[in-house]
Amino acid sequence: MNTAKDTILKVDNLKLQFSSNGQTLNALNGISFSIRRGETFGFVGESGCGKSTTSRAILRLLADNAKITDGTIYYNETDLLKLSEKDLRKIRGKEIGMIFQDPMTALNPVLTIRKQIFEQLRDTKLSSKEKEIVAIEIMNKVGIPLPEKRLNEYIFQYSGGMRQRAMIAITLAGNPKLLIADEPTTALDVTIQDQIIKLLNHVKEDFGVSILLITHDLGVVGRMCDRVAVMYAGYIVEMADTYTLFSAPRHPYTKGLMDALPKLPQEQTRNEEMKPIPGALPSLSDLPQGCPFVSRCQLHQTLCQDQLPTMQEISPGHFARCHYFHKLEGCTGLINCTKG
Amino acid sequence: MDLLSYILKRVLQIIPVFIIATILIFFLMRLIPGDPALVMLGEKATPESLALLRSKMGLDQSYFTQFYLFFKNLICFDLGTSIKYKEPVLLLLGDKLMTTVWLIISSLFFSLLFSIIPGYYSGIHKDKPVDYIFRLLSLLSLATPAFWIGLVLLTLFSVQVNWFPVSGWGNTFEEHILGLILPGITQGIGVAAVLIRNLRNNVIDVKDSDYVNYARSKGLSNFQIGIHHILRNALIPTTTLLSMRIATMLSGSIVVETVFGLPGIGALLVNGIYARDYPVVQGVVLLFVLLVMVINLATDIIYSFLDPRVKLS
Repeated sequence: MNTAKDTILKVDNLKLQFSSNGQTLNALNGISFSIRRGETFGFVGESGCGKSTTSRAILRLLADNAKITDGTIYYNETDLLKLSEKDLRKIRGKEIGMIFQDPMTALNPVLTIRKQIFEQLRDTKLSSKEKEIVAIEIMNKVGIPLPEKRLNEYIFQYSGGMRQRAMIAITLAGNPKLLIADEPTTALDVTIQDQIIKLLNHVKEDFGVSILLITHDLGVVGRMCDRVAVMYAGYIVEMADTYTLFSAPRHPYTKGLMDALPKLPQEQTRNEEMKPIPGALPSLSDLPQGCPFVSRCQLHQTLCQDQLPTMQEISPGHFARCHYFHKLEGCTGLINCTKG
Repeated sequence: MDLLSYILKRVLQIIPVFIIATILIFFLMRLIPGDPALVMLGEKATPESLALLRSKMGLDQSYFTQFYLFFKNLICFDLGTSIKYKEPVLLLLGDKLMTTVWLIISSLFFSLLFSIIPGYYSGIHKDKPVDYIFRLLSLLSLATPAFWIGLVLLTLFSVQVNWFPVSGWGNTFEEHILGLILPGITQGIGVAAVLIRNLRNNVIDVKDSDYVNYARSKGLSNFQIGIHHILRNALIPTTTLLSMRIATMLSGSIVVETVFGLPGIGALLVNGIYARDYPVVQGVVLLFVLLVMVINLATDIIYSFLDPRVKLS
C-alpha cells in the first residue's frame, strides 16, 4: 500500500467530524483505503455509516458543519487536503467526476443537457460546433438515442433510465480518470438498474476510468466491484477482493449483512433463513470505547468492550477489524456470486 | 404557434374581466358624494345654471342610460371628454401614460439593483453578520412609507445638493432620466425590501440542493455556480412576486408622482378625483385594469421561459 504507479487514490487515516447543535459527531474515524488504476472499488454499509461522507470528503464537497480533522487523501501524487479551493477545482470534474443517486435532483432542472455538458467542456478551446460533436459522441456512447434532439431537452423530459445515462454523460464529458458513483442505481427500478450496472462496467473499459462505488446493495457490489470495503459507524470493518469477501466474510457485521439478504424460497435450506441484525447503529456522538459493533455482535466478549480492534490482515489483501475473526473461520457468505 | 394561440386565448379571457371591471368602476364612481357640475361652476352657481350644465353633460339621465352611453362610446375607443381639462380622455391618457411607464421601468431597475445582490448574499451567508444587516435594512425599508422616503431624498439630493430636479421631469431625454432617478429609488426601495426576503429564502432552498453540489463536483467556479445554478433557479419564484409588485407600483405611482410632481396617470387620477372628473377617473382606472392584466399575461409567458417545466395551457 504505497503511492505506487498503479494506485490512483490513496486515503490514509481520514477523520471527519460534524458539529451540530453543540454536539460533535465522529462521522469518519480513520478511514484508510486505496484504489488501483482501472479497478472498481466498492463501499458498502447501512445509512449513516459514512460511505457517502467519505466520497464527498475526497472532493471536499461537504456541508459547512463538517470538518476534516486528520488524514491524507492522495490523488496520484497530490494531497487533495492540502490543495486550495481554487486548485481543487481543477481536480473536480476533470480528474475526479461524480455521479449522484438521483439525476432528477442532481441535474439542474432549468438548464438543457447541452448546457450542462458544455459546462464540462468550458476550459477546452473547442468551438460550440465542436463541443456539440463531443457531446453527441458521449451521449451515443452511454446509449442515449437521438442525441442531436435530446441534447436540447431538459432532464424532466427524460425517462428514468435515460436520466441516469444523461448524468453519466455529463460527468464523463469532463473526462475524469476516477469516477465516484454514489448510489447510482438506488433510485432506479430493477430492470433499469441492470442496464446502468452494465453501462458503468462498459464505461470503465471504454473510458479507462477507475470507479469508487458507494452502495448498500451487495448484489450491485457483486456485479461491479473488484474490491470492497464494508463500513460501519465511520470505520472500515472489513476489506477484501469481492470474491474473498463474499465467500469468506471474516467480520461478524459483514456476515450479518449477508445473512440479512432475503432469499428466494427455492434457495432456502432449513438453516438458511433471512436473519436481520438486531439493534441499531451506535450514536456517532457517543461511540463506545471498544468495538463500535459490540452491542449488536453475537461473538462479543469483554475485550471487545474495552479495546478497539485494529485492522488485521487475515490473508493477503483481506483485512478485518475484529478481535475474534478466527471464530468465523469456515463461514461462507454468498458463494455463488457472479461477476460482471 | 403554440405561444400565439395561448396569447390569443388569454386576450379573449381578458374581455369579460374587462367588462365586469367597467361596470364596477362606473357605478362605484357614482357612489362618491359630490357633483361635478358644482365643482366646475363653484359654490356660488345658480340652480338654473347647474341644471343646465348637468343636462349638457348627460348627468340628469338615469344611471343605466348613462352607462349605456358610456359603454357604447367605450367600444368605439371614446372615453368621453374630461370635465376639468376639456380634452378627450384618451388623448390625456396617451399623453401621461408614458411618464408612468417610465417611472415603473425606473422603479423596476432600482428594485432589482437593490435586491438581487443583497438577497443572494443574505441567503448564501445565512445567519452570518451580512445576513443580519441586509435583513435589518429590508425590514426598515419595508416599514418606511414611500412618500417619506421620497421627501427625504428630495430634501437631501434636490434641495441640499441640487443633483436632481425638485419637481417634474423636464422636456429633454436627459432631463427625463434625471427626473426619474429619485422617484425610481423611492419606489424601488419598498419593492426591494420584499424581494430581498423572498430571494434570500429561495437561495437558502437552492444552495444546498443536489444540483448545486453536482455543479460543484464538476469544478465550476463559485461565480458560475452562483449565476447559472443558484440565482437562475432562485429567481423563478421571485419573478412572480415582482410581477405582482408591478401592479402595486401602479397604485404606488399615485403617491410618487404626486410627491415628485411627475405628470403621469397617477397624478391625473388624483386630480380627476378632486374635480369629480368622472370620465378621467373611469379612464385611468380602466387603464390600470388593462395594464394589470397585460402584465399578468406577460409574466406567465416569461415564467414559461424561465422554468421549462411550466407548460402554457
